[in-house]
Amino acid sequence: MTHYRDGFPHCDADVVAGVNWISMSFLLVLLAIGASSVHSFGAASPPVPVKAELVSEASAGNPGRSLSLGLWFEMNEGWHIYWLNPGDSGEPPRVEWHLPEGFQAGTIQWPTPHRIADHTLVDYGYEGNVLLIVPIHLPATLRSGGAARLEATVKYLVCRDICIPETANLTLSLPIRKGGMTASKWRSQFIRTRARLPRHAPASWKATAVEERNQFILTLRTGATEREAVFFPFEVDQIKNAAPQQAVPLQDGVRLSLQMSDLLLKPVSRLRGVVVLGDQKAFVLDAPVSHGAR
Amino acid sequence: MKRYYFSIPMVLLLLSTSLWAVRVNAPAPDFNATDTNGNTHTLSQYRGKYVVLEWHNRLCPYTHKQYASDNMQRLQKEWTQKGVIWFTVISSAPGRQGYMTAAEENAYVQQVHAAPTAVLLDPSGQLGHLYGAKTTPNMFIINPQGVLIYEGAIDDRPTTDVADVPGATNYVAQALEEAMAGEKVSVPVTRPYGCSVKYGD
Repeated sequence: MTHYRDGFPHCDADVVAGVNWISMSFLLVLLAIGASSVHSFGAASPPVPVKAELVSEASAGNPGRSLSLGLWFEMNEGWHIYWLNPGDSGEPPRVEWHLPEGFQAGTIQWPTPHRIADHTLVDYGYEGNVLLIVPIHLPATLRSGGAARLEATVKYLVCRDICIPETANLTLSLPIRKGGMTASKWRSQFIRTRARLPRHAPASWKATAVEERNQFILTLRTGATEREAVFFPFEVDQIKNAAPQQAVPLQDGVRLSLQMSDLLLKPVSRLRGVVVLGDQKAFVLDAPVSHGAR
Repeated sequence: MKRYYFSIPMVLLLLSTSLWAVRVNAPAPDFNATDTNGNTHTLSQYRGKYVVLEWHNRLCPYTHKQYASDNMQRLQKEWTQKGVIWFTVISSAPGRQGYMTAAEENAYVQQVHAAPTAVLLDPSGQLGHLYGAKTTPNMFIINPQGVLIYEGAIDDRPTTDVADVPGATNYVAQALEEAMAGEKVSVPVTRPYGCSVKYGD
């Protein structure tokens, strides 16, 4: 399953954070004028309601180091793409990387999704703009001074009241330079997106679930009263996506009632997914399910 | 200790064969629907035959994948020739994608050489909600005893790519073959994939 973490995955956050931002801004302006050194081309044709682009957080890659790439989706109003569990319909974007030898791409870091209601169905996905961050590692043998051509074939479904399947062939020319990492113009978008990635639940929290009749009762003990909670399961069809989720605040947490999916044939042993509490704080949960008295 | 007569694995086994199968292996709900030629059909009138329900929206790319590859038409021909009743069901509400008048749908059936027993028009979504149809396509199989024996996806390739059809495991053909051979359906429930059914409010 996707590895979730905050901060700068596989990369020295200090290097990026320690850059002098004023001189960097100046540098970026120069780069922009001089036909920007980080090129990217969206392959989406005009009638398509979404623009897809391959972008980099850093303006150059460092041999032997990692950096974050991103698949940037800019959608027209009302259109959406899907989370890793798309809910009742749809499918998540899939990426096929075509990278120079020695480059290694990680998995997508999925931001917390939204519930998207379509009449009697509920999907999980993103509207507006979304950045799907993917860490990549560069080989140490890379020579400084050139540029690496990174390519991604992204297949995704974009829907409003109707759905359009898209294939985007995205490319990015990434300059290779030894030394400190410098930010690209996308840096702030990466920072904003990381703030939306679900965090690991603190070790002191306790998440358990009991299966009762046609419900999972998920109890999350955080040590404080939680007034809101919405659960997004990683697995498809564990719960009835469109059913309302009833959250009951507890003195030290929250209790959430989730309707079981009609499509379950076997007992569920774990409920894994993202829980969104008040103030849009999102955490990854892994709750063992016990099968209570019937 | 007597009250622990049922071991935990045994209880789980019992539960897994009954309580989790919320719909499959239970009698399929009866319906009364009108086709594109004005004929009405009930499920109960086809007791003694296998019945396939295929949720359909010709403008949905996942449905299109099955028709552009001629796969759905092939399945319809093959299984209706073997005595299966095959209903294509359109639950798109008026004004939403895939809504068809009877005449429009009949022209389409002819154009793409589709071969269902009939196309049921369900603009109210009543039949769709009765079966909990979520996507197009979404497939259901009812056996001659009126029991639901399969519900879910058409195959194991949840994509819109026509090239994925030839290598796919078709769950509908597999379930019909197994059931007709007197075997247990090995994959009775899958997650349906596709576009959402375009229900009205």
